[in-house]
Amino acid sequence: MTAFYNEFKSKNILKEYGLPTGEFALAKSKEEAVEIAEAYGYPLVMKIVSDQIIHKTEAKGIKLNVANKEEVEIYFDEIIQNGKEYNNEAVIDGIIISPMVAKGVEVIVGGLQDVQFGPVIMFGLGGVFVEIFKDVEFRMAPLTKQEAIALISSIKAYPMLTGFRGMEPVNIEALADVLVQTGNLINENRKIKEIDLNPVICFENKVQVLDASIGFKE
Amino acid sequence: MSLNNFYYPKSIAIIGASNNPSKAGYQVANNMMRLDFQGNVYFVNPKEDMIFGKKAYDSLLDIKEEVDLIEIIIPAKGVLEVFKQAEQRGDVKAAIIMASGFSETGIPENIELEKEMLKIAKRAGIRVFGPNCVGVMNTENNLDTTFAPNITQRDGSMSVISQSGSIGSTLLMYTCDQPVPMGFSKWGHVGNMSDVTTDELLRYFSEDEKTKVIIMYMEGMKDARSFFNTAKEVTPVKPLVVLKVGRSEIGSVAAASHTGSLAGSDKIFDGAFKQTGVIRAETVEELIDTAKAFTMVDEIKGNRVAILTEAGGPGVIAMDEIGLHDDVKMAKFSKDTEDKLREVLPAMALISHPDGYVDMTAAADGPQHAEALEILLRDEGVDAVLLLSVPPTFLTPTEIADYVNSKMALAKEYKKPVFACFLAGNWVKDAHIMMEESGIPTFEMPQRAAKALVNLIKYNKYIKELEEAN
Repeated sequence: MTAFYNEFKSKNILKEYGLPTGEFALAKSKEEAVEIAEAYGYPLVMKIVSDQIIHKTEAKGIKLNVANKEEVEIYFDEIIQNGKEYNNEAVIDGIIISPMVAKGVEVIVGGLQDVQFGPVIMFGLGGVFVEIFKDVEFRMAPLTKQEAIALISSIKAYPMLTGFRGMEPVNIEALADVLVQTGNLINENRKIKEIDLNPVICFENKVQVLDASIGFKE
Repeated sequence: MSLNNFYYPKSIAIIGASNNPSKAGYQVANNMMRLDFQGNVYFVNPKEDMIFGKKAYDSLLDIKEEVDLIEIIIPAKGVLEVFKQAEQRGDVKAAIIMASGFSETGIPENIELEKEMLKIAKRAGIRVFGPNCVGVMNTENNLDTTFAPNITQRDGSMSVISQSGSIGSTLLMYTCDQPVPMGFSKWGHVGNMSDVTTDELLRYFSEDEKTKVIIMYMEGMKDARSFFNTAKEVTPVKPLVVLKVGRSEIGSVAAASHTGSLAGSDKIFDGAFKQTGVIRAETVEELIDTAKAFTMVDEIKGNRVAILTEAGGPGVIAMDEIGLHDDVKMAKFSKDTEDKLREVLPAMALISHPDGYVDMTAAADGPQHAEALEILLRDEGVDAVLLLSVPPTFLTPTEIADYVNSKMALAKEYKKPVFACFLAGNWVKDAHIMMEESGIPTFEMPQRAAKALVNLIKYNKYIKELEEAN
């Protein structure tokens, strides 16, 4: 069986491995939520934190573009309520708050312990590219930066990352670092069965892990 | 550890050699005699006095002379006894077990039998191929331990690892039917891999001086990570071309039940191949075409390909294949090259239309094939030439081949490979023989020629990037 760590715990592990998680904090109460929100400034993202709720959207546990203190207070209660309705046995740790990030190219970075190959890294473009076209590639972990760059350029949708039709090109170096660090994480911790960084958002100057879930062998 | 005791034994004892043509033991004995193995052969079968005109021993213990390698063709239940005798002798260093009925069946007592056999082997210092395998071939000493009835042994620079004995033999038969038979150096089928694994065989072949390219038929891997690590060590030394089945769900299931090891997620295998510079062939034909390219071509400088064709259709098919691979580019000719081509070729010839492409048209004669080839070879922007021709009735294919061959000294001087495909079939066979004899690999169809060239370029790119990184 695999037990999943919620986004807050997962991102803390990622931080230790130098992965770019951006700013985030856990609010256990409405008061804490307001405090964190006021310190970050607006707009913000609020997401439910529970080991039992992996699909946060399905549980109506996500609010984007939270604009002010009043909304923080309303959404805090609403998200907790939605979570309980979705799964009344779920232990809800609180709500994770992060500054809202601009639109960029979304990619998926995965890690898994394969029965035959051991630690493996997966990479692909997010959305329909992974869901419908299954445009993903695998490499064995750990991998060098050169291998990570080769992995990035091996997917069919690679032109989407290099400035397709006037789009902003993506920082390939920074993305390759994410793949290398995720490879180190899954290679050095064999109890980790799965890593799902989905999405990782990419810009010209940086990349950032927006959501993360790490599964452990129970 | 060296596998020389399997590939260079001074003496072999065949336990279960037979006079009955319907038995595997007959074919193995026949192969030893037919090929004139360069070593001593002893046949063991208590039911026979003579086999192929040689004395048949009642037991392994009755052979007074030294025995390096034993091959066991009797049923599984008799195998332990043979190992005990081998241990008692003390001189046996290697064993090939053809019998099935061991771990591959998944039956606990059969698995136990394999373990028991291995225990004795370890104690006696005997290395084991199999069980459930047909063993080895080596053209250097005419060794063939398989029961394949008619493999021609011809010296070559390709070595073969196969997880299927029948496909392994088929590959060799197919290489014999090439315009110039390719031949091989060494061949191995390791069956259950109770001791010697495909990884060890890979390492052994990569150190073999006679081997230039290793080809492999793979169904699944018990320890895929170990294969990955081995491949990473092997490919910088020798190109490794793998035909791996299991691309589809159905293919995966068939492969898993066949070898007793999981075929695994194909996507992950694909990633492992790319990461280690292993060239993946999709078909048996591509495996052999690619092996031919590697055995005949020593060097290629870059990835810029010129297609020189005498007919539109074949040229377009070849270009279509090239276009599928980002690692390979159509060449961009210099102005000088274009001018010279226009001077020598028929007026309606298409030059650099598109880049890297020359359609000489069916009006091109032999000298024009040769002159155009020379002009392309002299262009600094060209790394390889793919030559296609549909010899018209007024020109015999061999005449054109003669003209093409006249430029091979130049191609070798510039280290620019020329790949050729004349169309088609028996009409061009003699021309293909002539070209292969002068160092031009030939292929049955344009797409296959293009894919073999693509594979050569991909490996070359992997090696270059590896060197640059270090």
